Amino acid sequence: MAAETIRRPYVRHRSAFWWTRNSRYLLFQIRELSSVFVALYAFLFLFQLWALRGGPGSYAAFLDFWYSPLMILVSLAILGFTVLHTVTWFLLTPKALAGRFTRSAASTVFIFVLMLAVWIAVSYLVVILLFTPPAPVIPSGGH
Amino acid sequence: MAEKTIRLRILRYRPERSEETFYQVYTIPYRDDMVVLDALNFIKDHVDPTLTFRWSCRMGICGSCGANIDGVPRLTCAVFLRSLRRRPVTIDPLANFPILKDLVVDIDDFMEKLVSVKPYIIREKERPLERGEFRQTPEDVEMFRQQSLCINCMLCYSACPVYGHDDQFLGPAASALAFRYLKDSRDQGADERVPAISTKHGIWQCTLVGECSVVCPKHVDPAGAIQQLKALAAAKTMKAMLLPLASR
Repeated sequence: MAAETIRRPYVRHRSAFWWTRNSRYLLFQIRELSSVFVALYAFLFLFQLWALRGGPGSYAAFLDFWYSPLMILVSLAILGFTVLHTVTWFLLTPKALAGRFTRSAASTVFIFVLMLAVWIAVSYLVVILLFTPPAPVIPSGGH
Repeated sequence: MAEKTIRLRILRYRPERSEETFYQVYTIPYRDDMVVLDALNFIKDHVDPTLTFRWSCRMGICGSCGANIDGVPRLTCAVFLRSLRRRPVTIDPLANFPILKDLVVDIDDFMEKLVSVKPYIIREKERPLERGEFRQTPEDVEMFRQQSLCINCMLCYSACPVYGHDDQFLGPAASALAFRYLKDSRDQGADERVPAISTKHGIWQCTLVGECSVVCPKHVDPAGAIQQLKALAAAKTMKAMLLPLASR
């Protein structure tokens, strides 16, 4: 006579530090964390607009806060995490593209480099637009 | 000359004896051409017949012998002991699955997920046999060939932290299987299959960790398949919103 089967599945609990098990898990967690810094930048930008709306005094106070050593450190952290956020997502973009074109390693690198180039070009244009001094106003001849 | 030996540290679970798991260390003779599965079989045959594990083909096709080797989900038949640096070599059952006994895990949840994506060719209307077979060009086959190579070994589920967090997640292999049928030129089941996978616990729960594609022994790239499914499902929804008549 067959023995009775004892089926008692054992469920293991995952460690809260599972993401330390390999470098790819760690990079994933840092990539997720980088979103917080991207959002923080958006919040600070809104804060800047709000200060601007308050008039010259309010904006001067904002600039004092903005150029404080702590905020410079925060800005550097935001820059670092934003670059990491962008680069890691650019690296993953070919995965979401359909077709055989994206299957080779060369085309994956091509898509990444293309996106990087567009990103740098657009950033350059924005910097030029923001920091080129306005053309001097030529006084009109008068009538 | 003294015989070379190797130590293996294996997670044991013997529900008939204890409610807890424990590690047992075995020291066995070692040869350079041994894979992990050879070591397990040596233990079973010569040291401890109670050690329980699944295996069948010994050649990376059946998908039965997956286990976490030094923390990484791999096929035990495809890993040479000489390629492993740590001693003792630690072998755990595949992570994220309940253990039934020693290295044998409960695969019921995975089987249900495979069925849920309707892994068969769906036709709107069956056509008579006299009309012959559905013909496909090599280019048609190439659209889904990579995802059709899956051997259901479940290493991807063991590597997936999202599945580890919430076992309601459809997961990598089942999603890749859905992709395989959606990309098949003979299939007309997109209207049934896409709503079944485009859900909170379906493809949208994937956060693109990408480890499933790293551990896949057949290079199926489930992570890539899921991202393409997201694009496909989003396009389908947008089309239904913008062109309500055309999508019917």
